[in-house]
Amino acid sequence: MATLNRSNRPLPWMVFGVGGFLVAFFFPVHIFIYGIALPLGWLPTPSYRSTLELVHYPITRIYLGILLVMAFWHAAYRLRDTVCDAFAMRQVDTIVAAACFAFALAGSIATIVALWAVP
Amino acid sequence: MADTIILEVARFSPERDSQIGYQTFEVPLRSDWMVLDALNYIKDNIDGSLTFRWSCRMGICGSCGMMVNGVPKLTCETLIAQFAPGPVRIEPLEHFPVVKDLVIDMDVFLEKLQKVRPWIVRKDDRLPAREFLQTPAQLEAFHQYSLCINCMLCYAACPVFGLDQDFVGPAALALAERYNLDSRDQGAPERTDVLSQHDGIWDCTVVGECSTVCPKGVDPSLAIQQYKLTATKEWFKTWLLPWGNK
Ligand code: SF4
Ligand code: FES
Repeated sequence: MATLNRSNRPLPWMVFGVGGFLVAFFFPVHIFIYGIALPLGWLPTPSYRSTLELVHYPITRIYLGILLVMAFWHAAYRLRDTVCDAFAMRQVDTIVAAACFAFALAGSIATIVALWAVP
Repeated sequence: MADTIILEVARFSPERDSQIGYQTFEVPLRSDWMVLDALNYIKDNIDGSLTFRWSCRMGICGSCGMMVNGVPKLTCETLIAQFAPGPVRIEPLEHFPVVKDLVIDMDVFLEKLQKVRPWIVRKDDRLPAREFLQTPAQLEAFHQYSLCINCMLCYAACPVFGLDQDFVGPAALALAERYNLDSRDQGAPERTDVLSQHDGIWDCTVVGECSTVCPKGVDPSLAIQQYKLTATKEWFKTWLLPWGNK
């Protein structure tokens, strides 16, 4: 059956694609607000308490969870190709892929645990 | 403008050399000369043994591709004067075995091309009673990919092909898409097994150099990304739907 030699890349590629879209779309907004606008005083600085309250809402946590988890898987996919090509490691792609996706898995678990633990 | 320019031309003879060397030639610098004209000047007036391919001199046969100062170019449509005061380095297309001087062995490419079945595949071989009609929109869907002249500049530019010679590569994948997107063609399922492998579209890491160097405005990188979407849909159909494998 010819299907056997088809690559299983579609699954990680789709996550990579969706993750890339989310990262490109939402990260700049976060970077602008928390990295530029607030430190420069363009926006009134929210208190620690009110920020915590914002993150406390389930909808915020779900949003942050999806955004960060997808970012990890997006990064892992890119990192795998970069490491394989930059260091001539295509022969050991499986090991590189396992390491990169393990990193994404660890990042995802850490994200979920951290968001879960928000008081 | 000085009236001559120096060319550093790669020389290699399989019987004589173990690696590529360079020979310097001084040629007239004329504003209407292409790099190919300068090479022909060398061949006619200085060293008749210099070996290179060319035919049409009008950017259509795809045989005169070489590295000009490290960039893959059709030498018949690259003005030499833009490199003044020189020197200009002329080398065979990168990533291919060299046969002699500037001539590369293109068998690797021809095998790949053959594999993707770049012709109209019909389910039955009988000739239709009349010609196939196509709307302008149907033509538009594949037209740019049909402009490929098989010059292999995109292979010389592709770092992935440089690392992995099994990669089907830009032009062959773009030509596969050219037929997949043709309303007259029915061969897409047969091409899938070549295209959807690791060495097919999935080897591409979207460097995009193929589309930058293409002298014909073909966008192989786009073809590959388009097909990644198609292959992903197919993959999900195969795994999720009980009839997906039919
Ligand atoms: S896609 Fe462009 S660069 Fe590649 S072989 Fe065809 S014409 Fe040449
Ligand atoms: S000689 Fe035909 S493309 Fe240059």
